[in-house]
Amino acid sequence: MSKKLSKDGFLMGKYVRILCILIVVIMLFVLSVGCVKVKTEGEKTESKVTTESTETKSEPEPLKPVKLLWYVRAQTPNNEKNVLEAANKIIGEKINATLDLQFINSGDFNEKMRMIMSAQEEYDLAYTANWANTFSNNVSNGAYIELDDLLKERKALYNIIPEKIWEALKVNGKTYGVPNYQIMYNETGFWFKKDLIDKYNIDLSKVKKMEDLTPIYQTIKDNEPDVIPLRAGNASTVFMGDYHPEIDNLLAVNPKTWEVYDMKPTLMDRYKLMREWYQKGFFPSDVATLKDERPLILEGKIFSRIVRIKPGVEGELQASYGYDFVTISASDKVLNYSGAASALTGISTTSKNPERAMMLLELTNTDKELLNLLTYGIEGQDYVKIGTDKIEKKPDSYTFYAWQLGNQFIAYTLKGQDDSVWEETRKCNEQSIIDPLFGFTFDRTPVENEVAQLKAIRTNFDDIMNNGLTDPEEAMADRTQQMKAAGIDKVIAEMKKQVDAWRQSK
Amino acid sequence: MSISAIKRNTVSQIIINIFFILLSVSFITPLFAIISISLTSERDVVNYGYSLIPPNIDFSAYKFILSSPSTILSAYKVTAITSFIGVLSSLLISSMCAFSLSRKDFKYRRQLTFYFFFTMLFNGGLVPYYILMTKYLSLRNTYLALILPLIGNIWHMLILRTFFQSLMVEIIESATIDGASDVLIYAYIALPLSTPALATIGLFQLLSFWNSWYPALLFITKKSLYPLQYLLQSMLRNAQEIIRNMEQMSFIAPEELKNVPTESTRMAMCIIAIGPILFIFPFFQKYFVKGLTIGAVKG
Repeated sequence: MSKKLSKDGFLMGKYVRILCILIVVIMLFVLSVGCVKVKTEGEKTESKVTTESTETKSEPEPLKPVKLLWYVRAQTPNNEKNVLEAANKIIGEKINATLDLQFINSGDFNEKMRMIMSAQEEYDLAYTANWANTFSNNVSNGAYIELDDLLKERKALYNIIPEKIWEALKVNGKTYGVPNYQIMYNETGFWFKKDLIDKYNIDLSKVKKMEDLTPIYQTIKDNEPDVIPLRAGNASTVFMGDYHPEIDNLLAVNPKTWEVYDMKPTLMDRYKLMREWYQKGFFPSDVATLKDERPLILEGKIFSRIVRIKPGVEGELQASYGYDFVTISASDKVLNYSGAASALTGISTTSKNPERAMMLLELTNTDKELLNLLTYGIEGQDYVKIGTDKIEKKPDSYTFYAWQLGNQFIAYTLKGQDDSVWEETRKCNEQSIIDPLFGFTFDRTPVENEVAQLKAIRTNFDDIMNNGLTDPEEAMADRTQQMKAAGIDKVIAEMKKQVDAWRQSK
Repeated sequence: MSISAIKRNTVSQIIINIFFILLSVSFITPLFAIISISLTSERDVVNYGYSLIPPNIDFSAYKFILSSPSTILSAYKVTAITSFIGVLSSLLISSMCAFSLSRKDFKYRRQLTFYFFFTMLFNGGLVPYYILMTKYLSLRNTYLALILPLIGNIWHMLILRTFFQSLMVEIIESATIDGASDVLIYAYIALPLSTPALATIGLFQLLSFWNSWYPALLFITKKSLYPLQYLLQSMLRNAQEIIRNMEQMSFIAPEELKNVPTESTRMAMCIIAIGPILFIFPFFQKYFVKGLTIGAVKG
């Protein structure tokens, strides 16, 4: 019986040997395939680029009809078929192309795009940004074509966006993404519940520094037992005085001396204040772990929160939560890379018609009718006009976002939005301070491990110290020690070297 | 039996019972929690937190979901079709395969078994799989894309093979003498004799078809082809993504924020999605115990 078993079982004796051999063979196979694939990919992109340039030269002939596939990040809206049909009438007339706009759920967007790109699937345009479908990674993986030559022929598109933004978005001196022109600066501030501000006659114009908020929160804490004064602590983005840019979300640079340094230890007063606030009970009891704050805000249980300030923000908050807000600004307006790269469109290396894709992009950036059609749908079916460029949307109608398509500033304004909101935003864009490091990108390869470690330590301590969960002096001593051990000096030296080299090159 | 032996028996009975009662409680509590959260209103969640017994029973989450039932109904339809076709065809395929492999007079059965077994340890990886399905088979947005990836479960096939091996060789021999072909033996002898095994494996397959969402994530973009679990998944993933963006203060459109389902809605969706499976389970139970041991008996 046992003999029979061993003869029968396929895991015994010589099968183990066969298995080993097979594994080795397969490993080798996989390795060789891997190498071959990298090579062919390189060749492919090269050949694409050449065919492209020959095609653009023979442009003046009548355009062949083409289909353009564009991936965007949103839920498939209602009435999408009719809207696309109407849009394709315009697009067909102007550039003889048909647009296939594919909506991918925001939760699945990164994963699906990764699959599409690694499978070298054919598509033409895709939404990309520094926070979704990560632009820099995709560029270094060769997912997008260089756009400089194509842009030369699309002056109307090129001129919409300020030169400095084109410059800042270049990777190794070349353009790989077209920014969708919209709000590009960052300004941080607070929102407050308007009813409570009115009830206790709080004068927010007097708030000039962090400490000024303490008596306000104390009032709320004492008189409104059900309301949490502040959503979470924050020590390093509000009321900071001079703007010191941060490299790679890790270390700060003093723009006067160009010294690279760790900003956090200089903020001890802030951390002490946060500790005081925590002890006074200004934060939610589960401040460090609270993830889904939305129900609390909807129920009006939170008095204030840090928010990104922009023209029309109060109306937007009102639309989201259903009650009134007041906001104050607590920082300068700064135009930085993360703002400029927050909405881009890339043209895929697998696209067969890159020059037509670029023409489509020019249309969505300049053609008011087309952009508004793709953003708000069809007049009468999805919205009614209540002013020249003002509309009111119908319930359950077509909904999409202009900032994923092109020029936000030619979009209609919604009921409740200020008529001049886009004009204001554009003005703010122009007035904002330009990040002294705008255009600089840190190459972290030489200190990859150190940076990863430092970031982990930083996040760890940020959660604790921003919310005042422990004694700040002790925590900071601990933090400094850990940062030293993780090689902070080496990273500082490397950053300094790269910043200096970048400054020289300018 | 002496009195002390009975006593010892009852003591151990009590201990065993307590152990299993605790074990079942630990299984049932989370399910119960989901049900009670789905019956709690958002307001009560904020005010009282989560509790096993909802302070006020509130059906608004279910009302909200069922107020526009077309999405859910179409998802139900997709899941039902894929599960039904999927289970039947996978049972057919794996039992036929297992039957051939269980026959001692099949010459290459060991090599073939090894070939199948090998795919349990190694696979081509996600990207080649994706390319195969989309480029070569062009299965994007089809029912087949939801059925094919789960249809050939080697583990289940091997269990069935072991079960067929345990059938008496004599029956098959006598059937052969009576002039039955292999197909007849498979259909009229092997299959009827192995109902417990088929039922168990059918149930496993049903569960995996019912719960599968990943193929839909990869291959389905049309909303009318979303299976139930993917509908649930995408709802949760979207909500998570929005909450993450909210923390980082990046872009969220007010419309998007408004559409985030509340915690109770999400839980109600879970209940609606697992419902039918909960009811199917008891019907299979009589085969289940017998079926579970089949992999263990050999030779």
